[in-house]
Amino acid sequence: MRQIADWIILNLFGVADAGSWPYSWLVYLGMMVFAAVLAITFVAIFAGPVTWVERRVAGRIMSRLGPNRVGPQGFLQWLADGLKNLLKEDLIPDAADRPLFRLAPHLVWMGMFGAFVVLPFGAHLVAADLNVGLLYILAITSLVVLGLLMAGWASNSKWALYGGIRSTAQLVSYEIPTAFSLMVIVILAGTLSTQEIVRAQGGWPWDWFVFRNPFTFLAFFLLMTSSLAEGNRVPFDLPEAESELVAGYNIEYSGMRFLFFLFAEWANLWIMAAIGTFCFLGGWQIPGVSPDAIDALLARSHGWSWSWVGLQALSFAIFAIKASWLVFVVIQIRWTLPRLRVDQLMIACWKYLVPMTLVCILGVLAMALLIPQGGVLDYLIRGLMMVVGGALVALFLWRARVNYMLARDSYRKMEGRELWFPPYRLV
Amino acid sequence: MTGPKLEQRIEPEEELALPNVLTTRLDLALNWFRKSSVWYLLFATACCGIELMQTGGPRTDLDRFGAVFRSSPRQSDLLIVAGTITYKMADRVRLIYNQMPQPKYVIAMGSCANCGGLFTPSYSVVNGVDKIIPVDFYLPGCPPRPEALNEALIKVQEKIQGEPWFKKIKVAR
Amino acid sequence: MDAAQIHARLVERFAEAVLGFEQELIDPAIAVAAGRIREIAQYLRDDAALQMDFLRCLTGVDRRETLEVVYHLLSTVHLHTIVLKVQVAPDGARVDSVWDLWRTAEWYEREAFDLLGIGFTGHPDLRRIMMPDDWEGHPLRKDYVFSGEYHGITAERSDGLDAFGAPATDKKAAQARGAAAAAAPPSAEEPSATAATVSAEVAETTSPVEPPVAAEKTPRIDEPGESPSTGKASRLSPPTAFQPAMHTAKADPVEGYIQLNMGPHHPASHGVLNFLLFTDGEILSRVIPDVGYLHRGMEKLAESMPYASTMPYTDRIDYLASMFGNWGWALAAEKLLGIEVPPRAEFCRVIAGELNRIASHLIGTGSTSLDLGAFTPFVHWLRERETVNDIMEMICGARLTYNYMRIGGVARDISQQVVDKTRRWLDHFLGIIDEFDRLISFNEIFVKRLANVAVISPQDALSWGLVGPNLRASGVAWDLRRAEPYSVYPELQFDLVLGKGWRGQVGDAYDRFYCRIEEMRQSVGILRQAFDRMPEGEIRAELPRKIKPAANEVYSRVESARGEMGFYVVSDGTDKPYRARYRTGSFTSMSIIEHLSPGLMVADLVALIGSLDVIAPEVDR
Repeated sequence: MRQIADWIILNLFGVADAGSWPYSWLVYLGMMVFAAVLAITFVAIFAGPVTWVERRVAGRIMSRLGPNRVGPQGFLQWLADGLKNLLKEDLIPDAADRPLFRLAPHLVWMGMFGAFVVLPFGAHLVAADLNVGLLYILAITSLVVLGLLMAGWASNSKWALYGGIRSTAQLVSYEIPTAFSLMVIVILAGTLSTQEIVRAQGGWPWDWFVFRNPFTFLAFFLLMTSSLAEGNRVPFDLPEAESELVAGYNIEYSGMRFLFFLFAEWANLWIMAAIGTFCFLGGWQIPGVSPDAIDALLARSHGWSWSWVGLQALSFAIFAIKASWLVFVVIQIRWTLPRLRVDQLMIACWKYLVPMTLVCILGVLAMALLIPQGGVLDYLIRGLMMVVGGALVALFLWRARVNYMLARDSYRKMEGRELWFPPYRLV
Repeated sequence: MTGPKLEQRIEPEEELALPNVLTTRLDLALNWFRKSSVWYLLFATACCGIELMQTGGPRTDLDRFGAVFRSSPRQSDLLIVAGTITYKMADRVRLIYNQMPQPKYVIAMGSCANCGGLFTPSYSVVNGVDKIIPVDFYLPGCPPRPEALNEALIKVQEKIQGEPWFKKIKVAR
Repeated sequence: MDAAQIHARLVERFAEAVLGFEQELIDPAIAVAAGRIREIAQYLRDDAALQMDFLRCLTGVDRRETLEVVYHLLSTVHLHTIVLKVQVAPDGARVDSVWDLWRTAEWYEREAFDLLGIGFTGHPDLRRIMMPDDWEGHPLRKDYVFSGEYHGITAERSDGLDAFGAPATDKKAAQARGAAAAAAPPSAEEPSATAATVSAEVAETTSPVEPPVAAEKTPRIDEPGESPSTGKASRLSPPTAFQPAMHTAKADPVEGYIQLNMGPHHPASHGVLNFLLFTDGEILSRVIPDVGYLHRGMEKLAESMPYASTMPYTDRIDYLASMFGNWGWALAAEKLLGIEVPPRAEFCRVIAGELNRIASHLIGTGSTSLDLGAFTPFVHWLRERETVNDIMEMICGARLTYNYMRIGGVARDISQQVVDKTRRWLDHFLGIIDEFDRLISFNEIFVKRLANVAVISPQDALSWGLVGPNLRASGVAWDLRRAEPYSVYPELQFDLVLGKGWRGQVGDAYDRFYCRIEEMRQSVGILRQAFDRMPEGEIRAELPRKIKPAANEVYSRVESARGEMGFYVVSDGTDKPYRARYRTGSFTSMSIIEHLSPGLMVADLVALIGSLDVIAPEVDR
């Protein structure tokens, strides 16, 4: 965004040196507000429909339909849920700690939304390219812990308190494997800046960090696992475990305040996917177009440049597709797995994830020392890892197909007619 | 009736100074959204609870209408009293109802919740949940079929669609 | 050993304490002296030739001038049964408790105290179980009349008629009678400290299970001395002011523990069960189950109507497996009347019963996975259950509460169309069980959540009176279809599914879960055989115009989806049962939770309840 602001100062106001121009802060402020509005809009537009997507996917997994009445195919379901919750009675229990009860959803929301500042959506589409980007994400999302604990405490309900305590233990523990697996990337990219991390990769899959070597490949899965836990998603949804804690930390929340929690949960889904994408899957990198070329385009163009806008859009689209794919996978996990127990959760973190991420860090360091970058051996390993990754995806698809065919044949035999419709068709 | 006085829920008092056409239109739009997101409380006491689960299942999928279950009464709009209510349970049902935020709706599902049903002569069964909480819709059957519950949900939606939202409402406790 | 031999042994050993022998009853009963019941019970349990290791049922009968306590005993080793009877005076007399000989007696005695007002000396925790603490009177007494009002909620109909639609009788007089009855029952006071110490000594020396020392039990809910009829104070509270009546919350708060009320409205409480948890963080130190939120007084209702009219009520004892309620009731009436059921009807019953067993296990295993956070497998089972419901609808016209069986047969014949549809569904279903296994049963997280959790040893399982899959998962080969064959089960081939410790120890939660999966496979086999062998013929036996069995007593039992479902019916020669008693599997399963839970985690408790497949109406009836 700063680059764009500088571009505006240069081209609209004709000031070459933005630093010494007295009004440049106004432009920066305007850009900050603009970026915030853009990000909130994006979150709203993402979080809403993705609830619909999740419910439709869940419906398909469970051989139901899911919401299909509001708007085309039920697409406006999220609007209905949102508006309904806005119109509900604003209820604060008598026994609750009122200021904290009101504050908690905002803290959760701030923690989630703050992370959007450094997420690189496109070549120049980042609210602020901080040089401590990754560190900032880890720090700001810790605010969520505070919010959840506050919600659990302020509700003055024991179930909520359990949810709050559980989420604190869980989030604090899983910060560590998350940070360690991101450390792998920091070692490879040599920077904490999110944009620089993307630029250190390339557009083609063999340039992505995930296929760089076996340790990064492993670190990707470790990161996704631990960020599932940080996002309270199944199989780590203990803080709001429905069958144990009824609804966990948000049990006493209703209406708009409850919506904030839901909103934060879905926003977090995007953050989780985005981190995985820009750290491991090449981010917004367009295959065949180097980031420097896009920079040059911005610097060269005086006035409106359609090719620059087009490339921005393309990079955003690439980023969005990759992240959405991860979101889709997370949704599928949500509707497949059961939930861990508290002690198993801690064991999984401290006995397995943390040592494995440490091994990954050591392994990446060793690989960096032993195997020269860009050499034949390096590309051989990358190719091998791509094959492994491709095989995993193929295996998954094949299993899905086998199960689908078995069930279809079984129903056909029982009913004597076709009961199943193809997986791509919406009903 | 010597039982406790039922809570008065919504009383239209006076209209806001908005033109009728506008409020009616807005009512329609808001109510369309409101009725499409009726979250029901997962509250099953007896046999009807199984049919309630089946109604959420594949064949009569309540999720189609935007109705999902919530476990916490704070987040629910609709209380489906599915099954027999005993005297021992009665206080709890009232508590759950009071915990729900306005606007809220109640379906008495099955004969037991309607009037005591088969267990009317029993010494321990409340003869109808309307002795404890106000009921919007009575759904007969022992237990009602999932299709019937589906129909009841549509009735609730119709009721929501017809409610004036922009009239000032007074909630009497 | 038959009843006469057991009687002879008892006479030889206890001489004058054995008061009588009712050999003419269908289940012969031995009347013993009230003061000696503990000794005799202990002898019956411990003698090598008798080994009555299983207390099937303990209940009371109001004989108007006396109260009768009835013990149904069984030896799973020698396969013999006997009924013990003890007479006590209705006002204040007591019987020695046998709760430490068979731990299941603890809850049975509480129930007898609650519903009939029989006092038990030496019982550690004698308080109401079904009715609220401030309830007046004991409902199963013959002279009990409900006052018509509780906490401001009246039983009146708005049209002024009584429950049956007839003009209401004089309420005042009825209430006066009820109050007189309520004044009579014995108080829960301990008569002397000696009885308790004696029982504790006996427990320490002889009990095979860990002796439950009285001191270990923290002061229980009802302090001795507070008789149920003194709880009138709370009834005077204004009805509109809501006070959450914590029916178990009178337990002393234990220092350093969080007290949590789980239920009766809780996603994991199957129906309306309440648990009072004392936890240290996530770890449970004590769990007190609190039941009775769905006590619908079915036993009292059965006394007020003819035999055939009770059939629909038996559906609702266990609504997930209502066919077995039908079956047990029909069996009881048939035994009383001495009717033979035509062979085709027997096959119809087996088919309907096994289908229902599958339908019940679908919910049982599905809700286990739901409780552990996996929603999808449950919905898949709901999908399959819809097909079972369709078949059931074709058989008997109802989806859930079937009311299919009749005394002497079944209501409708099973058509060839049903057979074809079911056969096709069974072929399909076996594949779906495999899919379910791949999806959830063999899922690593799921296995880890259930394996080695809440292990029940065979001794505990017997002592707490667990039945059905819960008992078999602990490795005890006890299935009524085998052990005490009824209907046409002897002709059919099937395996008893015993817990093998598939993923952990024998008797853990995973075994209980997987036993049910395997039982569904067995049921598929039974169904196929039944279809092959089903003969043509009548579906109902000739019945007398009015069902009026001679005075007799019977304890009929069927293997329900949740284990032994027993119907103890006392007939007095009229067209209505004098006393009907339903013995159900969930009641005993529920009572073992308190014993198993210390040391478990909150999430384990959910898994435990799910794996026991407890269902509220069966607990409360």
